[in-house]
Amino acid sequence: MIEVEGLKKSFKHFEALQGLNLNVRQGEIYGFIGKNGAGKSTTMNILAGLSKPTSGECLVGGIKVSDIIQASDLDLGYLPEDPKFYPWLSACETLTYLGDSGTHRIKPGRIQEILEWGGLDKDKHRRVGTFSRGMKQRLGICSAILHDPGLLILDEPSSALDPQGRNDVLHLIKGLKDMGKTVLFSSHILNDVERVCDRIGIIASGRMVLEKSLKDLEHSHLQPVYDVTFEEKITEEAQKCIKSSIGVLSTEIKEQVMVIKMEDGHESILTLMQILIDNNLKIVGVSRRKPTLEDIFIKEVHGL
Amino acid sequence: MKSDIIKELRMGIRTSRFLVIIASFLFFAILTPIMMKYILPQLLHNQFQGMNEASISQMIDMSQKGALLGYMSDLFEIGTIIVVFALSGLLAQEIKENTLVLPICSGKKLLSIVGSKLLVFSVFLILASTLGMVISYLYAGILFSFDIGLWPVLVIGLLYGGYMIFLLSLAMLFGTFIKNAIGTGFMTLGFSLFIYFIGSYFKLHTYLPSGLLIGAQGILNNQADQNLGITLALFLIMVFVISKITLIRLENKEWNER
Repeated sequence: MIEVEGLKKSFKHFEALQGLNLNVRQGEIYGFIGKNGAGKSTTMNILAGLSKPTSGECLVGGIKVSDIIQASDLDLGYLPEDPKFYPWLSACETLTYLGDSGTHRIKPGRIQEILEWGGLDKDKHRRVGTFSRGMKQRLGICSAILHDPGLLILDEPSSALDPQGRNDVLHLIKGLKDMGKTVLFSSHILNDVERVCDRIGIIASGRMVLEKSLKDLEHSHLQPVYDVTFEEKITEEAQKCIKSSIGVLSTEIKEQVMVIKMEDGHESILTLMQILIDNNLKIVGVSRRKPTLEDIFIKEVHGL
Repeated sequence: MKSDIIKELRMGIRTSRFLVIIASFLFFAILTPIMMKYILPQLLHNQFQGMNEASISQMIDMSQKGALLGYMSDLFEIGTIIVVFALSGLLAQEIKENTLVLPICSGKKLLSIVGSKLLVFSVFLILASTLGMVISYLYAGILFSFDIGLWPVLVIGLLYGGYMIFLLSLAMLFGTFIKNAIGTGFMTLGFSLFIYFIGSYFKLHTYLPSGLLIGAQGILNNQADQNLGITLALFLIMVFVISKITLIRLENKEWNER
């Protein structure tokens, strides 16, 4: 759906994008992660046809972005980071205005349908100037899908919202996937990305440092660290015994839970179980620690 | 284009732009004849003790024509400032606040956006200017006497409206450079005064939009300018060229910058 190769963008003396590669597949929710100033919004502006790249290839739905005359030549819906509406128009008037353009026309009843989908039906006659930030973001998503595009580019849709607002927006994004839309969604709130995305791309200093599906990412970044919960408080003797076993790097005790870090190559659950059985310990549960997206992000961006 | 026109109408009403302009026009239309009939003679009488009414009426043109000339002068001196600052943010503010990003992404054509702004506010300026002139004509006629016909007054209203349209197109163009409503207002005002100065100094009013104001004064003084047709044609060409440059600047603009 989106193919970007060697994308560069310079502003006077600053190179915002330094040869970015990006690939978004049809029907997926792609999380575009990066620190503030990494180049996320610059990339999204180019993909939405609002800004021209300095160099590089950029295909959106098979159309070369550099060849378009105006932004609406691309079949996509775009939500800027801070969507600006006319405060003196109501939600309904805003969508009616945006829905009536020379190139795209919407079917009758579409506005009502969208307002209901976005949870703004009750506030449709209220002026947008009186809306909360979360309501504006929802209206922004509604305006992005108004013309029923196949692709949606959402720039930080959940940032700067309260937990309820974030939850509402993420719920709408999940709904977009169910509608068969492809979504490119940027954020620096990694928890949000984990909740809705199929694949992620991490951008740092204008370059893509990692691009993988969330499942592959978890698998490739799994650590040989186990959290073992015992029935009773573990004795010092037993702890020493575990610590001295082959393959165990370190142990740490928190109440009845022992954190056991294993050497690479000894990370099999069987090895650990054997050690515990040998020490005759009663176990309530064992779980292998999953890396959070934050751990992966810090590792990839900062190399820690 | 229909939705763009409706949006501009709503903006004019809900941001009180229409109200500010029409109120200022009507304020001067009503105040000027009153000033000339009652306040100015009283002021002169207080200033120069012993001056009789005949002497005062020799100093001031106390007639419907005099009141209209006074209104036209007020409109040029103060009315243009109000019009320029009321409309300076029309495009500058939209660019600065990024409110055009969503319409552009939704498929709105820049030609339609700029065209509807120009159309709605041009029609409004023509109507406001003509209405102000008619109100001033009627009020001055009641206070003094009806010495002139309504037709020349309507033409003068149209010519003043035309000059305001020139200011509107300039404000929209400068808005693409400055992106700040106040700065755009000062630039537009400065440029319009510069044009008026050039026209007066080099006697070039015929070829400049300021010629519309001179032509209007000529009509009121029964000295119709033979070259008014040239001025009108050049004014239309200038508004078209300025609007085209505005459009080109917008088409080459990078949107949603931070």
